[in-house]
Amino acid sequence: MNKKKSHLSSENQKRLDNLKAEAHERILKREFVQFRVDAPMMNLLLKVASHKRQPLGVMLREWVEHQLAKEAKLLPVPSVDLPGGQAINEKSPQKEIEKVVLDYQSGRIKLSDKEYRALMDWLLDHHLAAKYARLA
Amino acid sequence: MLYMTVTYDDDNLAKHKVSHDEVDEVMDADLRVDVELLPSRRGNQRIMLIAFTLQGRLLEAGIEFFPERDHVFHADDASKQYKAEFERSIKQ
Repeated sequence: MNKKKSHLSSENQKRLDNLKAEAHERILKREFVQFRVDAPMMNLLLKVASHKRQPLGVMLREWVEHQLAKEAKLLPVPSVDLPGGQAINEKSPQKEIEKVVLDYQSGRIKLSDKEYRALMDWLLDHHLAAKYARLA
Repeated sequence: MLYMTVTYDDDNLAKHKVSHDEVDEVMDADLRVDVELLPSRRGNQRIMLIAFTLQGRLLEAGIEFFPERDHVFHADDASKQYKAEFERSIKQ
């Protein structure tokens, strides 16, 4: 669904985009997800985990990882062009992206909000956000 | 990115049993409806966000944009009006 951006002024939209990005980072840092299951499903989960001689959490994590790997392959690869012509997407070479980060940190290039967000997403996806914490 | 401090009306959130984490989930939702509200008495812009939490609770969260911070002044289960607005948007 598209967000109803038509209701918002561009200034508010910018504040909101920023708010979303910050909230996203806080959610990632939780490294935790929980969900409700009803009693019959819980019973079945416990039985299966017991049968497999695995702790329930370990078993669920394996299932999620397995399915996630499959689903992730089906995701579209969004691509954003950065200054200098470097396209940033999940297949971008790390060396190229790190060069962009260094150029940005040293002030040699400027990034739009969209470009910055794409760069931050890439660093988060590749577990490099902490290395380049000064970027924020 | 310019980091803004987020503050919360904890009395309001406690009254409606909404956690900071749930408000974060609403802010971060891609599937979200944003409605601009009338400015506050202080003259600050305010918006209402309507979205599901990760657990599937449909919430409304009101944000007031102060110059130096974003303030969550309200969060609760989505009212009938906002629920309808959200459902309309999903169908579009």
